[in-house]
Amino acid sequence: MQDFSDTLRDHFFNPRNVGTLDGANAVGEAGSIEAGAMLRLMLRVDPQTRRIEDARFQSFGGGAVIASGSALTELVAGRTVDEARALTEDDIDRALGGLPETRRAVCAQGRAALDAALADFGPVRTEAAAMPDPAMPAPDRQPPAYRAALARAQGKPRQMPSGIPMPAAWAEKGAEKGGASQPTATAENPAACRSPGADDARILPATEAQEAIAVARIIEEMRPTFRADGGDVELVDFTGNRVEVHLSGACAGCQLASMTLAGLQARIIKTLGRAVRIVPVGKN
Amino acid sequence: MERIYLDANATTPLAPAALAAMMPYFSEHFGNPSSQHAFGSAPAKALRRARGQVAALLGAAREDEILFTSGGTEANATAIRAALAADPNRREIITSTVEHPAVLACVDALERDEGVIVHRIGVDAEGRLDLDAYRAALSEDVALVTLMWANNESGTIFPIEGLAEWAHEVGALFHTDAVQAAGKLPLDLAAAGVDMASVSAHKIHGPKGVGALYIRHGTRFAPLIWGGKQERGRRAGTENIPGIVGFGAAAEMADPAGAAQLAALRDHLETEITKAVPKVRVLGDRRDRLPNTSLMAFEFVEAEAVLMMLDRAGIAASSGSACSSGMIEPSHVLRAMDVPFTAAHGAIRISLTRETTRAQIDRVIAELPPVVARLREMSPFWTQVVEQGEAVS
Repeated sequence: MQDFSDTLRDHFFNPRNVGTLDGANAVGEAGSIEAGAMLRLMLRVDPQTRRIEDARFQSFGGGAVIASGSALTELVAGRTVDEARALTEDDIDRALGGLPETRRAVCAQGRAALDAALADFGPVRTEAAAMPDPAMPAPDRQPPAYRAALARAQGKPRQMPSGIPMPAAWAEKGAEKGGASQPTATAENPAACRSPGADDARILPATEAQEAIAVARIIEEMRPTFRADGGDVELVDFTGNRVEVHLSGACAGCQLASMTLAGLQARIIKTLGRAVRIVPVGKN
Repeated sequence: MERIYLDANATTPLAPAALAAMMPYFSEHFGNPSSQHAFGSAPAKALRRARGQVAALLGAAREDEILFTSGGTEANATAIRAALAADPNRREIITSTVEHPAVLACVDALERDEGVIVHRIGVDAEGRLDLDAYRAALSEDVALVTLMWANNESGTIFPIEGLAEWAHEVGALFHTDAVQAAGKLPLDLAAAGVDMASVSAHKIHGPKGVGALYIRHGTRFAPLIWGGKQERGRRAGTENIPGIVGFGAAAEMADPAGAAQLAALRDHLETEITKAVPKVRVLGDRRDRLPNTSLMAFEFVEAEAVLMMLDRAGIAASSGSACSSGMIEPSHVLRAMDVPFTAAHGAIRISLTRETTRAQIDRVIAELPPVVARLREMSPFWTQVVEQGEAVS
């Protein structure tokens, strides 16, 4: 039996804020059923004050995972979006009374779910952009996918990291979607959506093709990690918020999948500035 | 609150009679059985007696076919190493994907460090060995076939006699990890045709830290541990006399015929749980498995959470999962059985001891369904299932 703290056990046996949240306007997930651990975080954020008014969670997983959902809702409730963004994995660990070393990944998962929820609420805004735009529907009335699309459309097309060759398949995909030009963005573009919680020098990808390249790049960058453990990961498809990957070798169906998929998801979410779901699939 | 122990396949409580038998060998009969003086005679006599008791449990033809070890793991390692050493021309091993780590990690190391070729035979969804793949892997290059008698997680029983016969057709030695089978199934090793078999004391209400390897008389053998002449030169090191005495006492008390009665209790449990809980699968070969073992997979919940809640209710069971590197993963057995991922994380093993009562099982039947329901209420996947009226794919 795991050596869980009394705080963690209390969160597990008496979870706070479990269930769905009516009027949630920031929803994020991390993990998957394949990985054996999944956390869905639902927040209701006041669009004016940007304060998190209520938080709920649903969770599939072991004791630490369920407890992390409970602790996280208590941790973020009452904070502003920016304060919530500043929460670290260590904060989650502390809120659980300290996790055993073997379960530290739970903190990363909690952090990834929070990232996803905050990204779902909206991008980090500059002062100019923070002024409510009367032409826009109230954020809490917009479905997440619409908000994400709106956020991308508002920004001028943005710069891609240079020197990344575009895979032929993605180039075709870009062409289908109306071109994958390499436009520029500058600091003069205050509406540009910037990556939440990241150093703000980075610019979010704008078009689907650019996003696809960014996702492909992240996966390529993470492949050595998978290979070092005797497995491999490949990008199969990326549509909407669904990133399909194929795991092989020592990765397939093991804890490595959950570990690294959570990490992969967190990185993609940070880069794209919106929630995505990582789905391990068979290779066809 | 009465605590209910339902994890017999992990370990069993030491029988009071076994403990009583052991006690004098910690104190007044402390002597070394190899000594020539009077202090050695009581321990030497006790050693002989225990050897006879274990030989009887296993159905060995001769008492000197029993080699005492520090447990099942050492017995397995000894058998595997001995088979390779016995015939240097044979450099292949056949095993299965669902063996205990004591076998799998051992052959992994041999494959990695010594270039031994390992054939790992898969199983079907019920944990039954792929017989065609087994036959295909057999050749004159095979030194050893090592296949477990019964699986510790699923309880599925392999048809050991037939498998041994096939191995012998190509001149390979046949070893079986009988740790879970001993005491739960009637064993007759003399008739079964196996060359070597591993057993462990603490799975049959004996003490931990002691086990045995059965080695059929005349089998090619080389020791794993070199040193003194104990165990007829086959396992060096002063014998763990109290442990061996406890093992012998436990072996004598073991009642495989009585263990068969546990199947009725186990079936009662499974019938009632599957009635009370939707979306649960009973895993393992339901026609041929250990009478005390139930492996049930509850979809859309994670086993550790179930176990924590059961533990708080005073019920000790086990999961088909292991925590490693930060997250929980389904065991190699569940993966080998290709249990769907919606269920693999929710596999709970309930293994009855000979002391398990109907009242205890009825308490599990009362406590387990609400635990699963409560966790499912928290699970986003379950919400999806309820909404869609079907399993998410």
